[in-house]
This record gives sequence, C-alpha cells and structure tokens, in this order.
Amino acid sequence: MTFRSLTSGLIAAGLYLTVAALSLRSGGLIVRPVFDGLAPPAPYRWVDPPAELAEDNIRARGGGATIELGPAGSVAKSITTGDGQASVIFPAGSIALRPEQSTVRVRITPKDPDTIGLPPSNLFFDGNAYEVRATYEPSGEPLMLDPAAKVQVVLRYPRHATSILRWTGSAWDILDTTTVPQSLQLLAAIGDLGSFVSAGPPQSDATPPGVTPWWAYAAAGSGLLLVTLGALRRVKR
Amino acid sequence: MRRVILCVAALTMLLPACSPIGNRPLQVGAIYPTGGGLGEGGIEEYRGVQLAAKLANSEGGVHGRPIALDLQPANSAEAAPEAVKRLNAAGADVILGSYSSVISSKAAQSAARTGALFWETGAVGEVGTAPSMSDRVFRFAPTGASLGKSAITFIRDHLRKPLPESAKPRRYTVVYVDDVYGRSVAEGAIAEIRDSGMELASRVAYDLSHVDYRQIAQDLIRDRTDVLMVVAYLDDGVALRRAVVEAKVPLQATIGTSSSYCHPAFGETLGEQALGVFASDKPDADVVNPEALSREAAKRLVWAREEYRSIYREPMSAAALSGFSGAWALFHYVMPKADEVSSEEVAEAARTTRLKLGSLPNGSGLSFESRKSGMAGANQLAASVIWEWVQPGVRAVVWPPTFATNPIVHFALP
Repeated sequence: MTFRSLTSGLIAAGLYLTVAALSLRSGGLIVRPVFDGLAPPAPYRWVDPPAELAEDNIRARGGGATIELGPAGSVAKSITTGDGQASVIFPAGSIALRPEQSTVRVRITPKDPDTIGLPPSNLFFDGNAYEVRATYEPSGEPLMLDPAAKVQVVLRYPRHATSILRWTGSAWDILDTTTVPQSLQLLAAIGDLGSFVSAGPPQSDATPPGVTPWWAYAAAGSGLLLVTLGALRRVKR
Repeated sequence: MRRVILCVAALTMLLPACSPIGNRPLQVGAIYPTGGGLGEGGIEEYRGVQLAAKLANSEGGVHGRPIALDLQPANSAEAAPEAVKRLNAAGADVILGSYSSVISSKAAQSAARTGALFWETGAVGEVGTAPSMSDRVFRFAPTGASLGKSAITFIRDHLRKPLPESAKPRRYTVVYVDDVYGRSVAEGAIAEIRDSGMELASRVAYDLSHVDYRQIAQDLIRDRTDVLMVVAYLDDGVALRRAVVEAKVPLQATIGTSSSYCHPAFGETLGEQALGVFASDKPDADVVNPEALSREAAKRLVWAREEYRSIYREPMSAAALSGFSGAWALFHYVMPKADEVSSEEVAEAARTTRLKLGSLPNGSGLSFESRKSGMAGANQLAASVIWEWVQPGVRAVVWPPTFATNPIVHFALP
C-alpha cells in the first residue's frame, strides 16, 4: 500500500464518517446512510432517462428543509432529496447570521442537465443536475455561502462518474471531487450554491482481439500491386 | 531480381494470414460488477469465468480458437446497457454475466435487443419474458423461483413432516426486498406454499430505503407466523433477524436465501442469533463432494479449487464456483457443438445440450427450459443446497444428502 493510497483512503473514510454523522444528526433521514454495501444500488431515478432505461424509470425527487439560525450560528444540517440521490451538507456555523432572519430555507430540485448547458469536452453527464437554492426567512434574500464554510454536495451517480460540475452561468466548472465507488457517490466542497451534476469521461469502446490490423491489409494490397505489375511487365515482353 | 520481387510480394500477401481464423482469438464478452456494493461478489464470479477460459484454452479452445474474454464492468443496472453496446460494437456475439439480478435483467434485455446471446452464470432473478429474450438468454444458475421453492420444500419435507400433527408449523410468511431478486425468490416460495396446501399468513415486500424492521417483527407476531422465509441482502437480512430476536417472535423455523442468510458475514455478525437459521443457495467449492460428481466434473472441480487457491490465496466461493461451472458448461459443452460461434448457433446448441445432474463442477446438470415455457432459458438442473448455521459463525450444508456436510441440527430459535 502506498502512502498516497493510504492518505486517499483515510480522507474518504473521514468524509464518510462526517457525512454519515451529519446525515444521522440531521434527523428525519428516510434513506440509508451512505456506504452500506452488499446490496445493489437502488435504481437511479432520472429526470430524462436514456431510452434503454426509460421503461422502468421513476421520476427523480427533489427535497428541501429549513436550517435554524440561533445566537451561536446555524446548526449542522444535511438536506437530502426524497430518493437520496443528492444531498447538501451544512456544517454547524456554516451560514452567516443576518439581523432579523431566523431560518434559511433550502430547496434541491432535479433537472435535466442538457437543458442547462453542454458538458466540458471529454466529459459526459452521468445523472441528473441538481439545482440548490437557499433563502433567508422571512426576508427571502438569497443565501451567499462563505467559501471557507466547507459546505459539501453529495451526488449519487448511475454509471461511472468521476467529477462534480457546477454551472457558472455560462459553463460547467469541474470541482475538486472525492469519489466513493462503493456507494456510487461523489462529494465536493462548494464555494457557492447553484446547479450541480456528476460527470465522467466517455468509456472507451472495446477493441475486438484478433481483428486483422490495418497494416496487414496495406501489406496485402502492396503485395497484390507488385504481383500485378510484375505480371503486366511479363505480358508486355 | 524478378523472382525475389515475386517472392517478397507473395510473402507480403501472406502476412494477414499470420492471424488466421483458425487461431484467431474467439472474443467472448463479460459484464460483471467490479466495484460498488456488488464488486466483491462480481469479481469472484468473473475469476471463476477466467479460470474456465484458461482451462478451455489449455485444451485447445473452441474449434481451435483460444477464448479471449473482454470484461466490461457494470457496477449498477444503469451501466449494463452501455456495457452491452460496447461489447456489441467490438463484435462479441456471446456475453457472460453478471452476478447480480438487477444487472442481469438490464444486460439480458440489452443483449436480446442487439441479437447477442446472454449467458447468466450467477444471478437468480427473473430477466423478463420478451420473445427475443426467450431465444437468446440462458440462465445457468438456479432461478430465484427455484431457490424459493427449494426453501419451502425443505421446510415442508424435512422439518415439518417428522413432527406430530399438533406441532406442525402451519402459517408461513414471506418477507422480501422489493426488487427483481426479491420478487423472483418470493414468488417461487409463495407458489410452493400454496401448491403444498399450506397457509400463507402474509407476504411483506419492503423498499430498502424505507424499511422498519421492528414493525415487520410486530406484524409477524400479529399474523401468528410459524415459518418465516426472508429474501434480503446482507444488511437488511441482519437487521431483520435482530428485530425478530428482539421482539421474541415465536418462530418454529426461518429460512433465507443467497444474498444474506448464507453469507459468512451473516453468521459472523449475528453469532448465536443465527443458530438454527437455514438458507437456500448455491454450493461453495469446498462443500461440493467430488465423489458426488461425474469423473470429468470431479477432475475439473479439483483443478479449479487448487488453481483458485494458488492464484487468489483463498477458497473458491459460491460465486466463483458458479462462474467457473457456468462458463465451463458454455465453453466446453455448448460452444463446441455450434458449427460457428454466432449467437444463433450457440443458442441452438444450448437448447439441445443435456447434461445429467453432477456433470458440472458445482453439481449442476444442464437442461434449459424450452422457448414455449414461461421460464424459457432457465436451467432445470441447476444445483442448489440448504445451509444451516450450526455453531456461532459456522455454517454447513445440510441438504441434499449428496452435498451435506452436516446433519440437520434442530435448535430452539432464540
């Protein structure tokens, strides 16, 4: 085991425990905590499923909750969609207090990422986009995150994603992402709310072994040409 | 000079023949999970397939062509159609898979659409009944329905029968995870309960993401359940067993299936709470008695066990044995019967191949249900066994006698 793989493992384990702890502390959790293996992942719920998966698709669900703002700051809260496919984790004190504002309302809405913008080159969308909006109550003013607050987005992906992207308004930004393949999930710290989607590189096509390579055809063609030319010369003589 | 040119030209023309059809590798596709929650079992099953290919190649391959496996991992049902597409683009006419019922279902459907043959080596769930699937989808492993049926038959014939009439368990409840695997096994069990004239106290389907085990335990008491059949994965199976013990549900017997109740971690986690619990599943390599097999199958089993242990430094699990036996049946008995290795010819060869029970290394035979059957492509002679947790953390095969390593132990369930 290399130092690098050990470090990565410890980071992933730490993130897991953080997410699991926050998930459980937030209460009202109706989905399984992350990382319980040996069962197949639940069928992914799409907003706009690929044709071959459309038949059994159940539409993706959104989610939302309010976060209390007390004198000591905001409480820790994990907000998850009803199908468990997307979560946003707010650590304690991650939301700046505002005068006369008692709560923050957070809403997560699943969307078709193709309706937002094209993926970066060499990446494809793997799953729904999730729009995360939050407003102070009662004013309704939008919440701006403190980039140092370490708020995290967790997305379940259906196939083989490696990165979480965030829509900047004109393009998708690739966030620094931790993959948790055991539960088909991605985690990323976010500096701002907005729309997020999981994405991955295209899967390479399998190459059939034993297929005659191009150079063999070229060689055969050249040989045939030489024989034909030789034969023609003999006929001329 | 002209002769030299002609010789060079002739040799050049022969270059493509350096990979002649006769020795050109025969590409066989494979779709197994190699990561995620299913990765461990998927890798084990694929290792078994690799061993079968290695053995077949050491004996000349298929029609003189060495088998080249092309693995396209699929860690979820959603990844299966893409994996099939990639194999299809690469020209694989025959695809093996897939360990998991949810992956199997999607892979089989996608393969059937492309005209490829899909050969399931391990998953037990139903894969659908579309006409195209009945033609090209073959399931070597026991079906979920047959595992469910075996579980109930075992309880009926070997636990219930010897008891006096007044003590016979009467009311059966089937609790199952509501997916393709759970439904498949549960339907087999429920059909057998009804066909045997026994009473179905209730059937409980649960969603893995919204399940209240304590409530299920209370419902079992309310329904006066005598025998509990559970179709679960590991974590939910353990949680349900704990809830049943905690609620002191007065069961006379309980039996589960492959993905939880016979998993080593089930007994290790539950310790004494697992004692007397039965499970209907496929056999592990270490419990298959070579003497119960044909000479040929016994030889292959011994080779596979030794090879597996020497490569992976661990015993051959049920998944690995199923992968090995299923792939061996295909590579050694079915494919060589096909004049050419097209999905159509191999499917025809599969339909006409008959092997007696005990002809394959896991104790199975081979005889596929006909296209007209509602279970088209299911292997009627797939081997299955009944396990029992006979000591804390120790399980043993107790049925059928050809595989049994321990007599049935009658525990008073905690």
